[in-house]
Amino acid sequence: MKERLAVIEGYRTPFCKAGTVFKDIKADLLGGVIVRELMARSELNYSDIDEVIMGNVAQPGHAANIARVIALQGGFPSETVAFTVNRNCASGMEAMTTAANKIFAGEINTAVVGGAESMSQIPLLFGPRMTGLFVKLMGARSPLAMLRVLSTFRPGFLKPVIGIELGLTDPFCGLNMGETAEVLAREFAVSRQEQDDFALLSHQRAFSALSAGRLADEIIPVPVMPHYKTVQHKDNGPREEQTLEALAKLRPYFDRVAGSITVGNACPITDGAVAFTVMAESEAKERGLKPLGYLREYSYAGLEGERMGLGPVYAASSLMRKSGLQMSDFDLIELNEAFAVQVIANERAFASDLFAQQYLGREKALGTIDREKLNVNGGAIALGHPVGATGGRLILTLLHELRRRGLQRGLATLCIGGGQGAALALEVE
Amino acid sequence: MKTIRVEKQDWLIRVIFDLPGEKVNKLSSSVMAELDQVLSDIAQERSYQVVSFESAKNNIFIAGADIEELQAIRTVTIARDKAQAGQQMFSRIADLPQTTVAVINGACVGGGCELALACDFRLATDNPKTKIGLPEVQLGIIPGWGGTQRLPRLIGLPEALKIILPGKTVDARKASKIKLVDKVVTAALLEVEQQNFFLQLRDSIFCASLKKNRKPKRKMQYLISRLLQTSIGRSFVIKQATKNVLKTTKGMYPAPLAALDVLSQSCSFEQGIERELEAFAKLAVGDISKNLISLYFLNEQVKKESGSDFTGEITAPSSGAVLGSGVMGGGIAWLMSHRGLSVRMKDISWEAISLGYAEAARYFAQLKKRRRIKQEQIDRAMNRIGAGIDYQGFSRADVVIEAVVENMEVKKQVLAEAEEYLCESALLCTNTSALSVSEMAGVLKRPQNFCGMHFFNPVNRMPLVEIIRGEESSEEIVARAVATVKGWGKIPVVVGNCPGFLVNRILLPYMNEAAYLLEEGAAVDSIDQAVTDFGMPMGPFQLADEVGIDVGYKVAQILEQGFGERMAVCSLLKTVYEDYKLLGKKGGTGFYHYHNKKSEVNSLIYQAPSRAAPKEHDHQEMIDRLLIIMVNEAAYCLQEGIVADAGQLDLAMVMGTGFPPWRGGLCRWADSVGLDTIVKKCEVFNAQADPRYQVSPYLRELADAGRGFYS
Repeated sequence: MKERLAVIEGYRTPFCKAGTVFKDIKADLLGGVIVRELMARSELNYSDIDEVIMGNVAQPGHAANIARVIALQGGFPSETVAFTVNRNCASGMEAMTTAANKIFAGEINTAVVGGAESMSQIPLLFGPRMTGLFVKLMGARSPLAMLRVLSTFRPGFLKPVIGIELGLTDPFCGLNMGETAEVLAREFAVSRQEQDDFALLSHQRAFSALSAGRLADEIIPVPVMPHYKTVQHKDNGPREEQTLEALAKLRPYFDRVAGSITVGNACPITDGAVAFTVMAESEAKERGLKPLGYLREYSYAGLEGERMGLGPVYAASSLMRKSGLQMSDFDLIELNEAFAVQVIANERAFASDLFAQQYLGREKALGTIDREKLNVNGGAIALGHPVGATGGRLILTLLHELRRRGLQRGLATLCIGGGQGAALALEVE
Repeated sequence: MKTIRVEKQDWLIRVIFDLPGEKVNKLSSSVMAELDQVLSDIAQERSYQVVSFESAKNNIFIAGADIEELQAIRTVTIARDKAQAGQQMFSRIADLPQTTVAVINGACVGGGCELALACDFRLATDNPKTKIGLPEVQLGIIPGWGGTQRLPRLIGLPEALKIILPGKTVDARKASKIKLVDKVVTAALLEVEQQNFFLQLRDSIFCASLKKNRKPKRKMQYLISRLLQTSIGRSFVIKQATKNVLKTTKGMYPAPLAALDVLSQSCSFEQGIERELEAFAKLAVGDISKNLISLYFLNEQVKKESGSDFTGEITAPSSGAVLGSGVMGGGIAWLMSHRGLSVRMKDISWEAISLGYAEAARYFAQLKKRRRIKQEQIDRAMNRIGAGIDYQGFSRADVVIEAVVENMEVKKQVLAEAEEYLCESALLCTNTSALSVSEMAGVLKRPQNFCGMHFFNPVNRMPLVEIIRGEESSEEIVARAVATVKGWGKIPVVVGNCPGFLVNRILLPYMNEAAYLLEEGAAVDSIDQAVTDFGMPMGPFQLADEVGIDVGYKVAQILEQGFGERMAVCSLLKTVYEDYKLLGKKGGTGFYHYHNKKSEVNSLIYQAPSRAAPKEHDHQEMIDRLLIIMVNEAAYCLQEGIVADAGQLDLAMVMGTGFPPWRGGLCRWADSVGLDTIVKKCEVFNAQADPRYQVSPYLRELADAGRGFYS
C-alpha cells in the first residue's frame, strides 16, 4: 500500500447467537444501528464521509445492495453513495481493503466500512418442484386449469431448501464448511480432545474478557427491536460454565460416524454488525485526528475449497512477501476460529517447514504461533461468527488489545468459505 | 374585484375560481353573487357542451363558505336565507343544460365539496393536498347547501355518514374507491388529462359509462346497497350510527345527531333539502356552533403567529436530543423521530433508556394499529433514535429538551452539564410542568438560548405545548421554540414564567378543590360524575390517577410554595400520597382500583382522618366550585400577563386539559354564565374557604364594568 490506512474509530454490536436476542432484527437495521452510533461518536460529520462500504454474505432479498440501506438506516443523507462487498467470511475485511484501494487510487478520501449479518433471518426457500408449481399456477387461466395444476401437488414439494445450509456449502467442491473441517482433521491428524481443549480455552478467554469489561470499548449496547423492552450489552455466546465433560458429550455433527467436529468445537451461527471510519494516514494527520490504529498491508490468497480452513497460512505467507514483515514482527494474532480443528491445523502449518516447502514455495516455515499471543480475548467458537461482520470484529478487537497492552503490531487473518484466506497487518502507532 | 373567471372555448366553458389577494378560494356572499351572474349567463349558452368548475389556486379547489360570515349570523331567519340561497344556487348548477364537471386539485371541503357534488362529474388529482369532505360538523353545524342530500345519493348512506358525522375528509384514492369522484389523474399531467376528460365528456355514451361505473359491480354489494335503500335497512344504519355518535360525543354535540335526524327518513330531494335547511338554521345560531367556530379561529390565529417579536428566518431543526428517557422523554423522542428528526436520548442507566425506547415504540404501535404507518416506516423511525448514558451525538442536536425528574436541583445539574456538549446555537428547553424556567437559566452559560417547552402527557395525544418565556430567553429562541413545535404538528401557546405556568396553574386548584370537596364528605365518583356531565373528558380524581398522584402532588406543592395560602394543598391529598402511598393508575391503585380495564372507587380514601362524614353535595354546586376556582385563577393569569389574552387561554385549556370545546373554553364559559354571577359565587365560596376563592382584582373589575373576558 502507498501509505497506511488510518482506522479512525470503530464499534460493533454485541454478537448474539442466531435465533436468540437479535433474531427479529434485520441485517440492515443491525448495520444501521452500528453506523448510527459510530457517527454519533465520531469527530466526523455525515457530510465528511465520501462512501459507505459494507460487507454482507446472505444478501437478504428485502435489501438489495444492503450497504446503501444500512447507510440510510444509519442516518446518512440520500447523497451518500454506498455499495456492498461480498468475499464470504472476509466481507468485513474486504470492505476496509476496498476502501483502502479507492482511497489510495484517489477516488475518495473517507469511508465508513464494516459488515453486518443476520444469520437468524436467512430464509427457507421453496424447492424447485414447489417453485415450478407456483409458476404453472400463475399461468393457469381458468379455474379448471388451476385445479389441474394443483392436482400435481405432492406433500414432498413443501420440503424447504434451508438457505443457511446452502450458503455454508461450497458449490464447487460440494462440501459444507463442517465437512471441510473434517478434511483438515484428517490431513493434520487433530484429535477430538485437542479440539475440545481449544474450544474450552476460547470460552474461558472470551468470558473473562467480557466480565472484566475488556470488550466494553468496542461494543455498543443495542436496544432490542422490535419491542425495545431490553437492551443487549454483551455477546451472548461465551459460557462460563463450559466444561470439557460437556464438550465431550456432544456427538459429531457433520460426520456422524467417524468425525470429530461437534457444535461445541465449531463456531455458532450468529447475528452482529461492525463499522469503522477510515481515511489515509496523511489525511488523518491533516485533520488532527487520533486514529484507533492503522492498516499497514493486506493480502488475500486462494486454495482448494475442501481445505479452505487453511486460508490464513496461505494469506499470511503472501502478506509477509508483500510487506517484508515476519511472524516475529507480530505482537498479537487474531485468527478466526471457524472450527477449533482449523485453528490447530493452521498452527501446525505455520510451524511446518514441510508445509512451507510443499505449499507456500518457502524454504522455512512462516513461524510458530504462540498461543499466548493468539486470540487472547477468545474467538468465534465462543463469540460467534456473523459471516459478514467477523472480519471487522477481528480488526476491532486486535487494535483495542494492542492499545491496551501497549504493543505495536498485530496480524488479523481468517479462512474464507470457498477456499481463500485473508491476512491484514495492523498497527497502532 | 372579480373572483370568477369564465373562459369559453369552442364547446367548453371553464369557470375558474381565483379569489384575489387570498391563498384559498372561499364562497363568501360576494363570490356567491358573482356565481349567480355567471350561472345565469351559462344557462343561456346552449351551444356549449361542457362546463368545468376549476380553481386557479395551488392545492385548493374551494375551501368552503366564509366562516366569518357564518359566525356573524345571529337569527334563524338569516341563517335560513343564506343557506337557501346556496341550495338554490347549487341546484341551478345541477340543472345546467351542459355536462358539468368539477376539477379537484387540492382541498375541496364544505361548500366547495357541495358545489362539486352538484356537478355531473368530478375529476380529482392525486395531489396529496387533495382532500374532499364535509367538515361542517366540526364547527357545530351540518352541511347546508344540499350536501346532506347529494352525498348519500351519490355514494350511499353508510359511506356518506362516515364523512358527514365525524366531519371527515378523504383523499383522492379513497374518494375514487367510494365513487365520490369519477376519475383520478396525476397532478403533474393535470392540464393534459383534464382536457382529454372534457373531450370525452362530450360523448354521451362515455358519460353513461361513467355513471354506470358508480354502481356496485359485485352481486353481493349490489344486493346490500338495495337492501339499505329499504326503510328497514335505512333505520338499521341510522340506529347504528346514532349509537356510535352517542358513544363518542356523549350526546354533547347536537350537529351529528341533527344530521342523522335529517337523514332518518327517505324522502324526495326537495323535501330533503328542506329538512337540511331547518336543521342547519337552528344549529348555525346555537351557542355550541359559535363556540366551536371561535376555537377554530383561535387555532388558525395561533398557526399564523410567531409568538415573539423576532422576525428573522427560522430553519426547522433536523436533529434533536432528549435528556431523561422516561415516559415524557420517550414520548418527546417519539415525536421528534416521527417528524423525521434524528434523535439522541440520554439517561443515567440503560434500564431507564429502554423505558424511553419502549414508550416511543408503544406510540408507533398505536399508529400502526390505526393503520397510519407501516412496519418498515416504524423500523426506520425507531432507528432514528439513538441513545446512550453519555452525551455522544449531542453536539449535533439543533433542539435539546430536558425531561428528567421534576426536581430543581437535578434539573439545574443536568442542564448545566448538558450545555457543555451542545453547539452554540442549539435551542435548549426544559419540559418542566411547574418549576421556574428563569431559575434554571441561572446555571447556564447561554441563558438566552433556553426556554420552557412543556408537553402534556401522553405526548402523542395532547396537542398543546406551553412555550415558557424565561426572563432571559431571547425573542429569537421563543420564536424558534414556537416554530419548532408547530412544525411537529402541535399547538404552541406562549406563557410567562410562574409556578405551574398557565394550564397547571389553573388546573391544579381545581384538582385541589375536588379534594376539599371530598374532604367535606362528597364521594369520589359523584364529583367525577358531575365534572364529566359538565363535559370534561374525565373527572379530577380520574385525572389524578391518570397523571400519577405523585406528579400531581408535587406540582400542587410547588404551587403552594409559589402562591401561598390561596393554593394550600388539601391535607387529604397529603394523606393519600404520603400515608397511603397511592400513585394512581401506574401503581394499580389511586382514588380508584384498577384491574382488567375496570375501575372502582378505592374505599381506603374515605378512611382519611381529615374526611368529614359522607354528605350529598348538590351537583351544580360541585360544578360551580370546581369551575369557578379555575375562572378566578384564569383571571389572575390574565391580570399578570402570563398569557396574551382570554382566547389563547381558552385554546390552551381546551387543547391541554380537554375542557369541552363546545363550551368554547373556560373564559367563554364564564362569559356565558356572566362574570357578576361568577364573582358573587366566588365571594360566597370564599366565605367558607378563605383565601382559596379570593376574587382576582381583574375579575372584579370586569364584572363591575359589566364586561366579560371577551367583551
